[in-house]
Formats: sequence, structure tokens, C-alpha cells
Amino acid sequence: MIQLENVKKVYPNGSQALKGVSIHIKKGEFVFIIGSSGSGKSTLIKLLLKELDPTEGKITINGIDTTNLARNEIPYLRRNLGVVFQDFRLLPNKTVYENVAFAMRVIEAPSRIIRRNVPTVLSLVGLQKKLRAYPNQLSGGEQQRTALARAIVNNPPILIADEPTGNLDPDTAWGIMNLLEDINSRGTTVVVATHAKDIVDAMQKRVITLKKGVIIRDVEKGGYDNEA
Amino acid sequence: MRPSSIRYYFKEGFTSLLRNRLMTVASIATVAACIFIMSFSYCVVSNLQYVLRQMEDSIGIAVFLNEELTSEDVERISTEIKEIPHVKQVIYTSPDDALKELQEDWDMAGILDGFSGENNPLSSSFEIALEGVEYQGDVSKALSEIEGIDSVRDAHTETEVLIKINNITQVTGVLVIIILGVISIVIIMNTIKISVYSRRNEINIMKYVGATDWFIRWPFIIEGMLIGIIGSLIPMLISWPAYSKIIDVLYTNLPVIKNMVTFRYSIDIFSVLVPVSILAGILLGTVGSVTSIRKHLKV
Repeated sequence: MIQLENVKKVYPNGSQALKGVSIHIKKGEFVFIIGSSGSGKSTLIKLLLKELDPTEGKITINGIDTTNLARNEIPYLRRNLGVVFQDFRLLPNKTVYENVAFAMRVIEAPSRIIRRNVPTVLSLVGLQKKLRAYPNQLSGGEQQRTALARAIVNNPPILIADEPTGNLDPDTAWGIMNLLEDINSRGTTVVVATHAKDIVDAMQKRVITLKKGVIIRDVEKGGYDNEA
Repeated sequence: MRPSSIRYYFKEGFTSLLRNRLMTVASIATVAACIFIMSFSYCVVSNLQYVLRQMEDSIGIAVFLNEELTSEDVERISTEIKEIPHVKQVIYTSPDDALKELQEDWDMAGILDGFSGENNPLSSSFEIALEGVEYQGDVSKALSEIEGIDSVRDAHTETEVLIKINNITQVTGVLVIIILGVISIVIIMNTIKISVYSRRNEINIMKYVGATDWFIRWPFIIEGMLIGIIGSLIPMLISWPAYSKIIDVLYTNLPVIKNMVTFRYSIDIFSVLVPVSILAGILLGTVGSVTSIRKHLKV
């Protein structure tokens, strides 16, 4: 589903963010990517989202070689990827329903399908009673649930979460993680970049540890690596 | 493009206009001012040319023929003149006709009585109308080479002045329109830049969920077009009635003008100006927003 082959990234200022990283993630896997700041985690996520291009190496996502992808094909690559961020990135002037519907509207989904899918996905994340609320009327956890609903409403085969629980208290964070696991159990490949040690330890999923731009550990059913 | 997407583009374009109200008003006002000045210069230039054309039509060349030419000679000269390029019309005046005209003009018929018939000192002449004053030099030269023509009288000083005025107004008009067009585009670019900036989060999310570049651009293009259209309609609504009124006032208060020249009808002017302005508005709006999007919307 996701393949990185000897991917290197050197920024224009000369700093080497990734020094030859190879990762193979299979369809339906749940993977944590951990590492301290400066480990190359964020660069990795940006490369997956094609916000950045690798300096060397090859990235394949859902069978699409993204390395030499034409500009006008990038949107279609991104439709394979749902994405959530630490800071939620909801539109403050749109309701919960509109925020989620927006993701369908911009890929020109038919209105009929939008009206059908948005309530379904919102009840999946437990927000069926908050359709008309605005983001500033929601708790942090509810905002992240809205962001999750938006990320999966177009039914992407891959979900990428960049520090999804970074702004949430532990209880709420668990709620979000359970949701991610739930989404994963429905067949979506989930990649989570995180610092949350407790969660990583408890969930016993595949853990890839990055340090200074190289993979120092990649274990099935692992815990948080204290070296990270 | 889905109909629902088109609805979305227009809705977003309108919303954006209303959201940045101050900038919207400022840019509509700028476009309106520019198109107003453009249409003002068009009114002036077009009327000036219209009046100049009337004056040009009255400027012709007069040629006087040698005395003692046979009517065959006159016929030959007439044909030769007609063959000169850019000659529009040739009118022959015989000595008798010339005398008659003179008598009528002078209103002192008695004095001229003795000059009729054999004693007529006037010579035969041709009045030559040209296709345009600019051909006067060439035609005069060609005329002077025709055998049997005694003298050629043209109005080259007047002609030169008219041609100069004509050229100056045309160049000024074009310059004004270019300069104002550039100003309008820059202002619209600025508005769209602010609009892009105020919606950067939205654009960001659109990119993450896989919106195509064009899907992201359209609302901004529509916003620019709307600014252009509104900005061009306002000056039209003001200047059309204003023009009619001004012409009216000129004719009423300065009747002498009406005897000398006529101005263009407002319908003649505005049947050109209204569609041209709206097109210009749309063009300015589109060019402004597209340039701005290319610069500020890194999609």
C-alpha cells in the first residue's frame, strides 16, 4: 500500500532530514511512526502527502509512483489519503456538517451522495448530535473527531494522522485512538506519527522508530522505544 | 464541471466579495473610475474625430483650368482627375456657373453684370473631394502634372493641423486606456491577493482532500469577474445619461455650435461603449485574478 525505497531528503539549507529510509506498509496495517523532534517524522509525512519531493529514492502509494507525478495528478493521489493534524484545521465559519461535506464538495461528489454519506460518517465518530455546531462550540476531542470524519468521508484507502492526540488530554486521546483502530478494522491502512508513549505501548501495533533521519527500529507489535 | 460545482464557484465568489467588503468596494470603485475615464476619453476622441471628419469633408482641392480649352479638353482633364487614387468626387464649374455663384453670394448682381458672356474673366474649375485629408499632398502633386491645369489650390496648412489633432487625440486616447487598464489590473490583483490570503486555511484543506487546482481557482476568477462587471456597469449608468444631457445643454446654450458641427448621438456612442466596457471589465477582472492566483495561490 505504501512503499518507500531508500528515500533521502536534503533541504535547500543543506540539512539532511531523511538519510535513506525504506518502509513497506501493507494494506490494512496500523503503523506508528515515533521519534523526537528533528527525527524526520514530519518530513516523512510531508513526503507521503506529496507536499515535498524526495531528493533521492522512490515513493509508491496505492500503486501510484509519486516521484515523477505531474502537478495536475497530485490531487488524485491525495484522494487516496485521508489526513488529520494535531491542530485539527477545521474551518471556523462552517458547521460540523459543512466541514465534512466540504471535503466531498471539493472533489465534486454529487450532492445526493454528500447528503447520504456525511451523516453516516458523523455518527461513526459519535457526532450525530453536533451536526449544526461550529468548531468553537466543540471540545478538542470533538474537533478532532470532526477532522477524522472529514478525513475518511471520501473513503480513502489510507489514513495519515500527524500527532492526532498532541493537543488532547489522555482520556480524549484514547477516544481518538480507539476510533483510528475502528477505522483500521474496516480495512483502512492507518499511519500515525506520535509522541504518545502510553498509547503506543498499550496498543501493541507495528512501531517504526526514526532517529536523525534513519530508521533505528521497526517491530511488529512493539512498544515505545525509549531511545526515540 | 458539475452544475453543483458551478453553483459552488458562484456562491464562494459572491461570499468572498461580501467577506472582504472594504477591498471589494475599493476595487469596484477603482475599476469604475478607470472605466469611467476610459469612456470619457472615448466620448471625447470619438466626437473629435467625428467633428474633424465633418471638417475634412469640407476641405477639398480646387483646380483652375487654362483658358481656351475645348470641351473635349475639359472632358479629358475630368477623366484624368477621376483616375487619381483617393479622389472621391469631382465637380465641374464652368465660367458661367462660377459667375452666377458669385452673383448670388455677393448680392451685388449689378456690379458683375458687365462680365457675363465673352467678358467673363473667371476660368473653368473643378472642385475635388478627397477620401481623406491625408491624401491631399499626393493628389495635389498628381493634379499639377495634368496638362491644361493652370493652378491648384489646396488647404495644406489646415490639413496638417487637422491631421495632427487627429493623431494626438488617437495616441492620447490609447495611452489613457492602457495606463488605466494596468491600474485596474493591479488593484484587482491586490483584492484577489487579500481574498486568497483570508482563505488560505480553506485552500490548504482543499489541497489535502484532493481538490484540483482549477476547482480552487474558479471562485477567485469569478470574484474578479464580478468586480469587473459591477465596476463597468456603474460608469455606464452614470455616463450615458450624462452624455445626453451635456450634448443637450451644448446645443441649447450655444446654438452657434450646432450650425458649425454636430456631435455623435448618445445611442451611437453607447451602443459601442456599453458592450466594450463590460467586456473590458470582465477582461480586467479575469486577468487581474488569474495573475494574482498564479502569484499567491501555490496550489
